[in-house]
Amino acid sequence: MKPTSLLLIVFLPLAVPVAALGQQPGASGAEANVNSRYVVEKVSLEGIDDAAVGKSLRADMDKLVGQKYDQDAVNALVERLRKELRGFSVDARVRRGDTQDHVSVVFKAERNLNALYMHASPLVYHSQEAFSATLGFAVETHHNYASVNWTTTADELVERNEGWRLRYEHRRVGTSLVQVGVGYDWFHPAFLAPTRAALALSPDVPGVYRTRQDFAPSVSVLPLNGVKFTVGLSLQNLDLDVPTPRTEHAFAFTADAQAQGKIVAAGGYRHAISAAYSLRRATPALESDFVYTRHLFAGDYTLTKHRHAFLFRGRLGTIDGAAPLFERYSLGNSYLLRGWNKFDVAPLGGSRLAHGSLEYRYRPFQIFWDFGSVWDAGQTATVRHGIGIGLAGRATSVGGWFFSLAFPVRMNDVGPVVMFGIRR
Amino acid sequence: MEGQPRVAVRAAAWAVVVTAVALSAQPGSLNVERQGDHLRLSAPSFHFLEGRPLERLHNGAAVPYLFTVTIEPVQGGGRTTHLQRRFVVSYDLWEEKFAIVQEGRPPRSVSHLSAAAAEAWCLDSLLPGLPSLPAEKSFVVKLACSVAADEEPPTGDGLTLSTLIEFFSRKGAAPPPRWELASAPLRLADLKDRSRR
Repeated sequence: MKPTSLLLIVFLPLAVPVAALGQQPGASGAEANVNSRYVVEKVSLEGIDDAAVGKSLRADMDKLVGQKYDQDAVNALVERLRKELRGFSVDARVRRGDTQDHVSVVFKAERNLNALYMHASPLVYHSQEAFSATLGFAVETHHNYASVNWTTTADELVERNEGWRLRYEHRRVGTSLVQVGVGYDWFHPAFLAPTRAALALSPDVPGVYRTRQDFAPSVSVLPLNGVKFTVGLSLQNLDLDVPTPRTEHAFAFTADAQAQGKIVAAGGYRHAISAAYSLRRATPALESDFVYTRHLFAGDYTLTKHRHAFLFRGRLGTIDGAAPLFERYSLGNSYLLRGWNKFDVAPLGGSRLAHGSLEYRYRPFQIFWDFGSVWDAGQTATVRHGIGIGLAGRATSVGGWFFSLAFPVRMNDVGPVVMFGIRR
Repeated sequence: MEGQPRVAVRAAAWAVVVTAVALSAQPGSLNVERQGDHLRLSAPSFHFLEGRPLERLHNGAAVPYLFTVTIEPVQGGGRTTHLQRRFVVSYDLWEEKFAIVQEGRPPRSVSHLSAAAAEAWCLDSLLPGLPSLPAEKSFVVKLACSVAADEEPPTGDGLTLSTLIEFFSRKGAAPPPRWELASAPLRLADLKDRSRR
């Protein structure tokens, strides 16, 4: 007899009770679930956009497909979803599949009717603009949503916008298809020297203002899932000091349309498309001192397969008339024409905008190419390019994080722009 | 004199209502039989596969139930005994039948049961031992059934302002369902041994 066989004979009777000691007295809920013999054929998420869920979590959800139903694994994913989706309650439901002895797992997210949560997004650092941040609280109860935010951001407009934003929405006016809202913003903008210097050379562009207040009531209709139409008013008061202290009004009709959709195609390809149009028309009919019409079109497309993602973003905008500075388009920030300083591109912004961005991501790694121009009517557009690399992900509950290094494509002064932060 | 029958009818109606309310406030009725050295419990009108737990079962989850049997002397003097058993119930989504695992060493399991059969199987599996009481001493058997609450594992975020806000803005969780039954006062001397039939 071989020594190994002898050892087995001696120790096997001992090994059995030792193994039994490691077992729990009974089966856990997951082990005892009769459905664990079925194979998962499909995993879906209901009640919230897929984009709200981090890619790694979504990938782990998809890994359930083809496996035997495992309640512990599903429960673990429910907990991860609850962590990521603040303000939502999440549950999992298992249904019969389309194929015999298969099941489908549905993760269902429902917005909490009574919730209080904190916003901390965007929080962005741009080496040419310093920090931009928005912090605030939101309360949601029985279709009523109210938020208070303090913001200081140089990442959107020509000016640094600092102040308070208050918003109230009733998200069910008789039906969930209709919402009403009202916003009130109070800003104390700061204009830097390049903008002030450029203004002196551009008498056609309205001047700087000390404070800006915006009262904006609106009505929204959501006829289809992913489609939203909004009409309203934007009643803005600008306090100017130059040439004499006075208040001027930018009273505009507003109209917005947004649509987004997702398609999961064969072969694991996922297509995500979103499009938005915004119109602002300031008119003497509203006793506005400024008279202008502003159009902005935006479209985003993302193609994803496994850990690869290809993103395309495009924006086109035009302004007719003399719009105040906050309406003018600006490029050269942490998401438009990355790598450029907005004051090098157009210190006063422009009344015309064309911008595109191509980006490839593999897991958190990104490489991108931005291109675009802002200019005024009657001028020649100069297209600028920026390229960069970085890391990006959606690992936080407040939004996606990024760390990017971008360079302007030009012959001199090609120093990098460092950007990092979180943004929804 | 015509008013007297009306008063009687009204009084009778009130008596019925009061009796009904009093009965509904009492725990449900538990039938107890002797089987050798054990007590066998049954309660045909007792249903714990209902409401939110049943909804969870139909959603494919396994639901653990905890049964506690208490045997209590009516007028003191004896020892109260307790017995706890845990059953994990699940609902077969394809066969539309219930399956149960009774935890223990070794675990017992059964499947392909209707709801009523599954409920009866759990009660039938409890089998508390005979109380160590004199045959003439009265006792009551009480049964409590509850669903183990969902455990919420720590999120791992640590104590941050966000987690605090999230915590305080959560709705209070509904208490897990619980059912209670009790037998009429019994004496060992009155219980016929079913195993000797």
